[in-house]
Amino acid sequence: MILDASLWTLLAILAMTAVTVFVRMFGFYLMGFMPVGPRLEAGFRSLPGAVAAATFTPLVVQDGPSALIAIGVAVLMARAGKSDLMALCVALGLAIAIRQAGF
Amino acid sequence: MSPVLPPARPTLTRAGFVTGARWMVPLILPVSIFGLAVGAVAAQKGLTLVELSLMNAMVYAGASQLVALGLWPEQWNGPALMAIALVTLTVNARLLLMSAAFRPWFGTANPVIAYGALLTLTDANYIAGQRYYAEGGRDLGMFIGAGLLLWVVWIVAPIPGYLAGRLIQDSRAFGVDLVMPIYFSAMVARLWQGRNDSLGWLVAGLVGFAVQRWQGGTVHVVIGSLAGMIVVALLTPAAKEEAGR
Repeated sequence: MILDASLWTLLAILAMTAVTVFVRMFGFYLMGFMPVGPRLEAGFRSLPGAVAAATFTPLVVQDGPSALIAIGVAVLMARAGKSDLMALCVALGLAIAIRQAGF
Repeated sequence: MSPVLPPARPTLTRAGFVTGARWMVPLILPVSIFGLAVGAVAAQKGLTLVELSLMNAMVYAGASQLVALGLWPEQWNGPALMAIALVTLTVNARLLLMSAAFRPWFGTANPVIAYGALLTLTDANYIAGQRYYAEGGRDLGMFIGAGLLLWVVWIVAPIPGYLAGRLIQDSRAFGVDLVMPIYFSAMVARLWQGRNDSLGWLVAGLVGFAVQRWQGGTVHVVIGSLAGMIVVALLTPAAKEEAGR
């Protein structure tokens, strides 16, 4: 059963592939015609953070202290120059401890 | 065979492939652990191993896969499919800028090779490739070799995570649901560049929260993040001068 594949999941994977291939190629293609201005560039550069904020704010509000503390600690550690991996281990450990304590 | 070629035409050599692969060696362990997380989340969401491996091989964009899997619907229909595609597009939109940055290097190459190379574009070979180019490197093999090495890692590494993820019964107690938010937040925290980003990300969070309350589903990710991006773009001066940063 772990080797099956469902039609909808395959369609979703194909759709994800199509949009990802598009962004991988389209910027290069466009640059053949037009330059990217500073506004668009700043907007694109900030987009991953905006995605994180829009995705995780509802999640944190719903889940409570463990999610909030874990994400907060990870962000602070990353800003302090620790590796993503170390931030993940410490933050996840904290979240598990908080949850095991019953919150 | 014409001996007259444009002088800037980039080469494509085996030595270049090896150089690119070497650039990526320090990333094998972190990417593997990130892959383990993707595998565990995929198991939690009920994907099969074949589905997971296909996604890793074809999409090959870890952050977007984690976000999409986090929002993976239990019941599929047309709108749910569109939402997953839109979320993937939003998370990966930065690749558009990155691919644009390769115009000076790949622009004079055979288009088939240039676009083929861009299929392997990720954050890792974007950064390494731009540094290599800045140091005078022009071999397309470097970019492709770097991309292909991590591609293989990205296909293999999630498999043990997937198998372990299926064994965990109470995934919440072990924080499996928080792996993606924590890792993604740490990665984007590094991209913060000043007050404009703070304001944009605050707007993205508030709009995302409000739309989620109002609509449910996944559309809040797209609307919230676009709102944040627009705020940052509008706060940035249109001219090249440095301000507010």
